[in-house]
Amino acid sequence: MSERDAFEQYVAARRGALLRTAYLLTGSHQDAEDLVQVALVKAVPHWKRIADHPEPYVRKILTREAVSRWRTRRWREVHTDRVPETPVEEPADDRLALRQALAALPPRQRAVIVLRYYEDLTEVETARALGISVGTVKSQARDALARLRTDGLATVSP
Amino acid sequence: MTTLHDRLAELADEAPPGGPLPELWSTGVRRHRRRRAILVGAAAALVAITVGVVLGLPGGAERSVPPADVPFEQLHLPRSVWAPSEWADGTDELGAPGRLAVVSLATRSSPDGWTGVRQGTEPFGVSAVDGSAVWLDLPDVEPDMLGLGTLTLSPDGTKVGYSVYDGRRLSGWNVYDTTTGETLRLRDERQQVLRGVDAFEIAFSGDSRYLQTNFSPTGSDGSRDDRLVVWDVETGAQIPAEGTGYYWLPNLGSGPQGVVWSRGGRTFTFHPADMTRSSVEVPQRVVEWSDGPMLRSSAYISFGDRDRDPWQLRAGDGRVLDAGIQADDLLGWRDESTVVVAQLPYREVRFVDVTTGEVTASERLELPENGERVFLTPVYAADLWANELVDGVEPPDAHDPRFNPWGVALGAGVLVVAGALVWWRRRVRA
Repeated sequence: MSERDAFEQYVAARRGALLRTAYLLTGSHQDAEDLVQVALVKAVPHWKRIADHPEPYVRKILTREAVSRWRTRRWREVHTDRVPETPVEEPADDRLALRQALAALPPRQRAVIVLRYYEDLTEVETARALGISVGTVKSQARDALARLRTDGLATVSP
Repeated sequence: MTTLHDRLAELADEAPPGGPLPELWSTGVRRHRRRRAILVGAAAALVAITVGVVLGLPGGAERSVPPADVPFEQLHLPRSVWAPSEWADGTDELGAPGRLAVVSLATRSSPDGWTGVRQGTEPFGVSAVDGSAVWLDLPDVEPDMLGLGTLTLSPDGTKVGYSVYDGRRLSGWNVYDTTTGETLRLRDERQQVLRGVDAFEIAFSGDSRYLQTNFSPTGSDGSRDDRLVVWDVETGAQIPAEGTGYYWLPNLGSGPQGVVWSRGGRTFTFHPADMTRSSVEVPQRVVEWSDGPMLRSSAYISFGDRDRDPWQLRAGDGRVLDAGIQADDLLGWRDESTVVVAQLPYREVRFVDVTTGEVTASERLELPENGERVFLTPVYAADLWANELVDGVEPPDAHDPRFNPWGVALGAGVLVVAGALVWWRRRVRA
């Protein structure tokens, strides 16, 4: 099987899972699809090296790209005095509340939560994926959980 | 109580199913090629910039060009002549040096490739304004061909005259203007190679207007076929001052106007502007004649009665003057009655009043610490003997440009920054 075939086979098998992770990282359908596409495109040049076990590398690109995009977007934000006409929906259920609580987290804390508690990575794996220390993973996870609880998700437990 | 994993998985169920996929593999390959090309280009640019910085930084401090219109009273000759640092920049980098007090030759070093050194004997000048020394990057100079009689300075310090060679054959003369940096090329259109008994000896007239040369107009090497020719250094015109038929180049003298030379006991003054000539005759054979600045006084050095007798300094009326040293050369005039006399090789200088015969002042010209690199007895701007001499100015050291510490430090800094940038990019972009 050629490298290209192996890559396309991986994409077909894992795209759905990657989209789920990306959605948790971005909170937007469009951003999630875009993020996954970029991560896969960036993985192509390294495919020969990662073909046997591509998941950690692709996940690393996915999370770091998510954090990087948030930083870039933050500087591009335009502040306005006019309130958007779209009415703000009240949280209808826990799912909506979680989405809003995740959106309020800083990007790195959000990524830690997604990798640690959705992907079930260890602290070491999470640190490696994000390029930060294990201690930082611990502190970021602790702070993020505290903020989630403060935001009304009282029933959340790790 | 549900776990956070359960609730995140429930939220992830909202994830999009994903539309049709573009050609991710092809897109990835194209993107990789594009990035690699950009990185290679950036690396090449970085290397080019680093090399440029390392090689391009100036070797020394920038030199301000002294203005040409400095009052005459502020121009001085140095008691000691310092050659520039062997690695110092020259007029190619620093521009015209302004009025000079001295020209001479010294050893200069320049890089030859990355690590080699090329050494040669090259001309330098000492500023009459601030005493700074600068290498003279004179056009058309044949390496190591300049020497005694082939490099000279005008009395007012504004022009450097030098012989130009095609290989080892004389092809003409150049006059470099020290105030503008322009060069006038003096060539005989009839012959590309100039021959003559003393074709290599040149000197400026006392008014700095004419360059005195001697060569054969027919290209003959015959001992009586050369003649004295002066060149107007403003127009480039060639003016014969004396016909052929004389056995030897006349002894060149000096005066405030025209061209002065002596043959036997007769001294001639030729005025190129109106092509007139006058002469005076003394009983002795004249080594060198000099008229004072107002033409009210004259002095000359005469041969002894016999060849082995010492030369004698005399006033224009023939009186013998005792300078207290052996009178080998008349350098100029301090005022209209005080002639400046030197004993070669220009260690002792005396100022002698030709009216009273008294030595009114003396100077000792010191060899500088780097004098071993100076190959030619300095040629002084004769007019400046009218002013007080000043101490020489030791030139600043110029470092070896092959090992420019600032360039190396800057280059290393650029590489460190570039490395840090690459490391950061790799870290951020996974």
